[in-house]
Amino acid sequence: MEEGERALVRLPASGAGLTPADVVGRATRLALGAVGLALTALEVLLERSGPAGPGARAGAAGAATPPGPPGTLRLLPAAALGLGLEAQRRSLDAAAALGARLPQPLRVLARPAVAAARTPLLAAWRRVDLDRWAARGLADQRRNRQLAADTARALVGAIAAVVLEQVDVDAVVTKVDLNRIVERIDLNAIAARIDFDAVVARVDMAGLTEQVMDEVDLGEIIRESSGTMAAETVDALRVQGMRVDRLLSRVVDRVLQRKDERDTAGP
Amino acid sequence: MSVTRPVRNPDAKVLQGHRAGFVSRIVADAVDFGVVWAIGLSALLFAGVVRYLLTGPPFRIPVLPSWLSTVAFLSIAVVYLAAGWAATGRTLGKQVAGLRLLDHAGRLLPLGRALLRAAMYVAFPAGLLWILVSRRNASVQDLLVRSAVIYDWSYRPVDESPPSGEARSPSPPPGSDRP
Repeated sequence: MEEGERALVRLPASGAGLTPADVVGRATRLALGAVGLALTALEVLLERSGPAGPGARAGAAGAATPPGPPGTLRLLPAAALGLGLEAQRRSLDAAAALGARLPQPLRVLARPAVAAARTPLLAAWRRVDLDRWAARGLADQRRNRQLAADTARALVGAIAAVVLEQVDVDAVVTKVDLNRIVERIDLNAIAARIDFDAVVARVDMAGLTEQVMDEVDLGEIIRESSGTMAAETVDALRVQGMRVDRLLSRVVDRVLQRKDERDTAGP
Repeated sequence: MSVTRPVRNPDAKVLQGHRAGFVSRIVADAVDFGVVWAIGLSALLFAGVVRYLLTGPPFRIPVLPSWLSTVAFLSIAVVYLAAGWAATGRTLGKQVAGLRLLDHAGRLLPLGRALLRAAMYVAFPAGLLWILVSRRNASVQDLLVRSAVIYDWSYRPVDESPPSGEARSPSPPPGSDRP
């Protein structure tokens, strides 16, 4: 069995020792691998072209495989691989059963042919390990899918870079009518969606107010302004009182025919 | 109102420390009259509130007999004026008018003389009219109590010598050389 596994993993460089069943099996595996790779690549491309719209997606999928959900599509490569392996196994079994059911005379006659075919068939059957095939197929599928995804991603990036190099973005922007765009924006709706309460709740109003009050000495401003206004008013009142005092004194002195000025010097 | 600022008006600056005339003193007394009236009204309101709290509604301002109202008003006036004169030399009215009351030596009036002067003013307000004819701008009460009311816009601690430099100068007040 060890010999058979190595033979399955590494294909011999020459065709020595290969039976017709081996050739058929390997050809089947190669074909199924190619189909799986194609399906994986197709799946990736379809997923990437999803935003283009349902019409384009249905057209691309219909060219190779029937349109279906991505989950089903993703299973197709593995299903194809499994189906191919099962078909190969059943064909080998059918060939062996055919030889066993022949009548004795015919079996005797056919024994050399059956033996010639059965020996490599049995050898091939012993080599067939479905679990190993399944694991190998799934691993190949994963690698193929990753390779396809990387390839598509790099391809898209390269295409985008080339396109951007060819596009004069400034010219495009100048062609854009920003006024129309702005007109289509419903600022009221945007403002209605803003949770101002949450915004205000996140603002440290107390700290902010304290900072502002620290910067602005409001009390001093009020004191200065109100104090200045009051002081100027009082000063004006006092000065007017002094002038009227002098005027009245002079009038009285004149009425009393006084010649000397009053002696108003304080104590 | 601030009284610590320097006096900018030239006439007012020269007159600091001189005896005040009739109009300024009447203005000060009018303000003091309003203050005394406000104090009396506040006392009545306070009495009404106390009575309301003790006896319940309705709330009413007490109505005193006229003689009692007069006595109460005059008593408040005497105490208010005397307290202001003895404490700082000025009541609120004199603060507004920029005046200060001093004795003949330039000191604050003692409380007893301040009470006597206040009582005389309350009893005989017409004594203020003597300012008009007095050569030293003195009222009858000033002559009796030997006090003087001067222009003094400055803030001054109680025990500091009162008048400013200009006040002690013998120079006559501005405008004295005018005809």
